[in-house]
Amino acid sequence: MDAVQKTRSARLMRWVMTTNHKDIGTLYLWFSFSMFLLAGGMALLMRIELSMPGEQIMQPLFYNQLVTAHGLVMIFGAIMPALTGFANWQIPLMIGASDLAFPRLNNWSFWLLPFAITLLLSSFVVGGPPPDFGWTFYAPLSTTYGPPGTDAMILAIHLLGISSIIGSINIIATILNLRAPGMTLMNMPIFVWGWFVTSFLILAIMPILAATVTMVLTDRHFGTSFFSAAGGGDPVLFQHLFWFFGHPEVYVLAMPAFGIISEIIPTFSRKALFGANCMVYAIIAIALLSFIVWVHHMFTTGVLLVTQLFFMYTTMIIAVPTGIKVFNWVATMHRGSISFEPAMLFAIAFVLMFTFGGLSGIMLSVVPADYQYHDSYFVVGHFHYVIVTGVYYALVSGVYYWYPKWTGRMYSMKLANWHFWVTTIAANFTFMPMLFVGLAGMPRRIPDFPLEFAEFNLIASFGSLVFGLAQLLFGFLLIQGLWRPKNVSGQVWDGAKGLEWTISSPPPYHSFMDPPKVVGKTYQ
Amino acid sequence: MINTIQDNHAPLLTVTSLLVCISVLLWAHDHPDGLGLFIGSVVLFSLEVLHWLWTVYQQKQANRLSSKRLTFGIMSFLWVVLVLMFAYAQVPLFHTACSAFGFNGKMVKHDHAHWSVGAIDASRTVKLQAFAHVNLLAPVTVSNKNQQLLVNPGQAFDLSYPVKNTTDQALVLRSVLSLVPSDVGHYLHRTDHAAELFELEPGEEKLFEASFILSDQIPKSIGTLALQFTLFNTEGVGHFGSSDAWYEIRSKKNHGVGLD
Repeated sequence: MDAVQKTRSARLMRWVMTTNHKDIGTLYLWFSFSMFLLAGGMALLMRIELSMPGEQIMQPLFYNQLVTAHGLVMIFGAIMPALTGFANWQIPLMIGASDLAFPRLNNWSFWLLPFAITLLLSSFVVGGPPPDFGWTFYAPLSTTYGPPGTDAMILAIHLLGISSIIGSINIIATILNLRAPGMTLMNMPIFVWGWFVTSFLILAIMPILAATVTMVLTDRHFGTSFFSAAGGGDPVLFQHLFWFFGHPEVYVLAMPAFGIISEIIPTFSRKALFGANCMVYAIIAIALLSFIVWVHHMFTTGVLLVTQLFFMYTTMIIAVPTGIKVFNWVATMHRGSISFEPAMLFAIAFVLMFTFGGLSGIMLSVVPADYQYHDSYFVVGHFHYVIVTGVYYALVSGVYYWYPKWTGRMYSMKLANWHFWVTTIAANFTFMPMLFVGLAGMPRRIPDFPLEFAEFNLIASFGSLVFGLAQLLFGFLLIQGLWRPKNVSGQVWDGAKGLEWTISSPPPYHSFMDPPKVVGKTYQ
Repeated sequence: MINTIQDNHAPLLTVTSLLVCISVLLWAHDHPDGLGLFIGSVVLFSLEVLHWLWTVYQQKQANRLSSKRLTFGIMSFLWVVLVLMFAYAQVPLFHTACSAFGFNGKMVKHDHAHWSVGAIDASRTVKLQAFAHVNLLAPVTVSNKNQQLLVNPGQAFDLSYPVKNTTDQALVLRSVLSLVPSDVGHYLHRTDHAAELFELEPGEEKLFEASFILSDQIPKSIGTLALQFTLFNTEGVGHFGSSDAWYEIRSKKNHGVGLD
């Protein structure tokens, strides 16, 4: 009995103390998936409330609390950790490194997350009421009118920020120091490039967020007036600081996703990535431009006309490097020998629907049109197309692509195909009606709505429930896959190129202890 | 082989950083021992950081950590501190930019010696809509809130609003002026030199007055301009986070106190 307990505790301690990038990658991925289900559950509750006009299952205040928690947990607890999980697993394998540059910091970076999310949600149980002002926590809603649970949210954001910053430092140090001989920067896979640039973005914006939430905390409790007009401050300053963080944050989520798609499309098209160098330049251009577009979130706050024009044009210009990426993905598929494995299906759907989401963003960038769309459900539809059918699709696509490599086992293709089709149909049933009701004038962040929006809201709610069920199927097939035979070869996909495919599936616990020699253009 | 490392400080760093967060929460919510707990947890966290740095130093001495990686780690930390300072620097920069360029619907601070007014241009008029707004948390009433004037470019004009303190306590109000269109701040000059703060004795009613000159340089495209004073209560600023304050504010919001 003692021996059994000892083994169990050793197993547990392995996950607590591990500094192995594969272990930590696995922790990140399972944690993020559980947070995705949690925040997704919140979304379903909101959609049930919105399925019909009038009060259905909750009070308006609780609805607002769910809106806030859903946004924060999805962004900081689900999507960012999922991308970091991919980085943990893939970057060392793709550049021929044995681990990340700072393995202990990597452990700290992960273990901050569960505590931070617990702190974030703690005010639902103790020290509440929880925050109820949306994930953007605008002042004065979060300062003067912020409920007591706001403080736990602020400190949770500090912990999440520390985790992201440490993770980014680790990734940059790994890429700069631990590349295998012959793996030049321009020879790196686009996924690694995506994370490389993203890490710099995180280092540039996360401290801004940390400073902003600290100002909110001191405004609330320690007598400062950064954002309080009563004390000589200005709430508009909050919006500038928040969106200076917030807009690049969108690209923090998107660029590793671009990287995943740039790995998958060439594999299943059996062609080299079209314009690989241009893809790198496009990523850098998007990152730089992302710092000079933030005021497009604030067109209606009374900024000067010349300022509105400047930010409208810079926002539109971002479409150019993004368009280059979309063009290159399509050009890679052109005359390729395409096969439609689940990873490729999700990647193709990503290209279509992310572009759709991006184009609705171009609509929002036009100042006079933005005055109409601002704070409407059109915005909600727009960013869900970008984040769900964009970033989430890339993540799912990446899981289907690398799961056999990570586990040595192949999931059920049949179930994965079902997952794709149900998810894609349901996602469009969920988010397309949001664009329609938004254009018709339905404001966002409301638990009730006039009768004229009833039909489309019912369709969106129905779509969201089906979407949610499809994600349970995804979880099921991933777990079921762990019981399937371990018979996958190292190469897995015949068109795949890169160092990770040169080692066994699953890779040894310590891979590339002797750095491989990279000759020529490995990935192109 | 399991890659656990004996000198992994991550679990203790996680626990101590969480302790710091919890102690800040207690301190912010006026727990009697909040400050003490905060200092104690910061000390614990700092000790753990020092312990960790000592390990890093030992690794460096034993040549188990490359100088390149260590330098990168230190540079990254300094960069994060620099960006934090950059964020705080935005506070004065923002206010300076607002008063220098009229961003955010603010008055441009004119150099009085160089701000001249030409002759009154009687050939055209600008419609001026002036509003006074009372913030939710300011227990005062204002009469004659909405005023409309026709002003010739180059002409001086005055605004006045009777403000009444509805409480039995002295109040200090702050008036915040906002302009639409937001670039009109270049063409208005305030001449009354009144302070932003406006004091009222218990129950007192007093005139809140402001005087302006509209520049004769105002573009012909601006036919109407709106000017709003919002009155804020300076009492209690910076102490909004406790449960009591929150429930008090929410109840005011729900019962419409301050709104009319």
